[in-house]
Amino acid sequence: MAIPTDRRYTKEHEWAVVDGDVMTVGITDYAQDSLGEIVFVELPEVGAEFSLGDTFGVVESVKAVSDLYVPASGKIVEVNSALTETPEKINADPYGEAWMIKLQVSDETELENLLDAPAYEDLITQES
Amino acid sequence: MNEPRDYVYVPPEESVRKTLLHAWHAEAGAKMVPFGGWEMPVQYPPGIFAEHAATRTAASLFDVSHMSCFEFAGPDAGAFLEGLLAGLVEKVAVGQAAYTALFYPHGRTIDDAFIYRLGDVRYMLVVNAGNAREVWVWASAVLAGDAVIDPHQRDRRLPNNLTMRDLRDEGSKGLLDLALQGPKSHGLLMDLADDDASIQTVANLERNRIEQASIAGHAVYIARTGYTGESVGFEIFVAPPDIVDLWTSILDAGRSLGVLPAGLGARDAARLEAGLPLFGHELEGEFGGTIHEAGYPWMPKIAHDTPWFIGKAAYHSRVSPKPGRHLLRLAGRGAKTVREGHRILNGEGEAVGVVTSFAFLDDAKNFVVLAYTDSAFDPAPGDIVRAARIKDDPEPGADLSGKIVELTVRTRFPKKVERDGWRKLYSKSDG
Repeated sequence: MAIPTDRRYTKEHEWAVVDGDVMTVGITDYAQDSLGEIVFVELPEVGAEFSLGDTFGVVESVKAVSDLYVPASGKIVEVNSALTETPEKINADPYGEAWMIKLQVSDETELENLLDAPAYEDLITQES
Repeated sequence: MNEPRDYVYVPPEESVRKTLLHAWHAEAGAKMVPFGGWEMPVQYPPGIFAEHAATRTAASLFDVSHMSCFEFAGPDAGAFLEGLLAGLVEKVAVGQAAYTALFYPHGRTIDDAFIYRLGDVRYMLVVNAGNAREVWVWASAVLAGDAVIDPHQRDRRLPNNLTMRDLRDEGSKGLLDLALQGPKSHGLLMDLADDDASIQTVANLERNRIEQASIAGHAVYIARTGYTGESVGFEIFVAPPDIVDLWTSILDAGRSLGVLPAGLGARDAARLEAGLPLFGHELEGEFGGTIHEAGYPWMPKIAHDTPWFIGKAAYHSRVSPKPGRHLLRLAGRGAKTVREGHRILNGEGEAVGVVTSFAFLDDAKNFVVLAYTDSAFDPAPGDIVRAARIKDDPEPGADLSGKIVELTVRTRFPKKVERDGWRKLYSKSDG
């Protein structure tokens, strides 16, 4: 399972691409594969504010439920609301079309906690 | 012999275990998950819904050899089990099976289980995988007289002229469990029976009976029991060295009938549709449910004129004068579901209960849940109740728009008319 090197990762299997002070967030290929067929996703409203470690939504598959965690503190500036109609896209294209939220990061020092691709690969090797 | 001591179970550190069928599952392309300390198939390539439809329309074969079969044999076996188990063991005749449970002296359920009487002084207790070691360690301590079993009589001991064996470890004299469940299981097993006596045995086997037979070349115990709600369903107890061959023989012979191997996903769908509790969800665990609340008030022999068993008084006080909650079986449809921990609401929008288990049943996203609610909240079958996708009780006046899911109340257990409808229902959706 190839892990893109253009982004960073959380231990809870979210990915984050940072552009300026806006972070795009989704879940990893490993996460969607572990969950299985995804049938439902619940995402926040634009304008909602979160602190590091808060849950911003939930993703549900046939057999499992998983909370979604913000990789950094900040305010939601955009939501991929199309996903709520087509949650199966999270299975099909987790790193692309199935991005979930864009977050205006309020504290850039928190980004230091994120894992790079090799570190994330180590993490999932240990888990599987 | 030492004084009995107060007993505390400390689970050991253990690596995940694999059943003898693990290689077969992997070869078949099953998706494996950890369950009760074992790595088990959650589904095979056809998927949960095809497997569940097979259970309802043909038959499916479940690897339940992660569950443990403990044998209690010897002159005191019946008297010992009468004290260890909450069910009335003296009523279980040779060749009979019964649902039972066991408790600690302070009243917590250790496990729910099935007891099979294999002979005059020989019984088999089939326990959940995740509780097997705890049951074994507890029963061993009770047998050895090491554990306090009655706080009011600390030196009390049970009759102990018997031996306990874990039949997993007994080689060609051991037993492991396979489950073949569904309407075509009966005919298939008759086809696989090796001689006239075995054919007769299988043909005449009634619900909750167990007999010896020869199936596909193997000496087995065959029981008409199961965990799917199917009135036609069997558990086959086979010696460990024979289990892989029996498994493949059943699947080979059943292929043309639509028989599929089925994983934990289909097993959970079937047991929930049938309203059957799962330890850790409806019994004990996060929600602390009891056998009474789960729908089996007849099982623990807590009436005054019944024999004593370990935990009787403490358990009785948990469910006396009557349990404050009961279990509801509820059905819904759609991707927006309620899952474990979500709240059931009354007409005023107050939380009156909590979802304990959830499963989708088919591609059309029909789903079923079990939920504990206050006993006073007692909707009739067919009523619509509202649930909320929240994991804490709502504040008065909280805005729950977007969080509400409507559910239809079903009977606590499916009535015959519902069970009879499954075959047709799942024939349609079987893609």
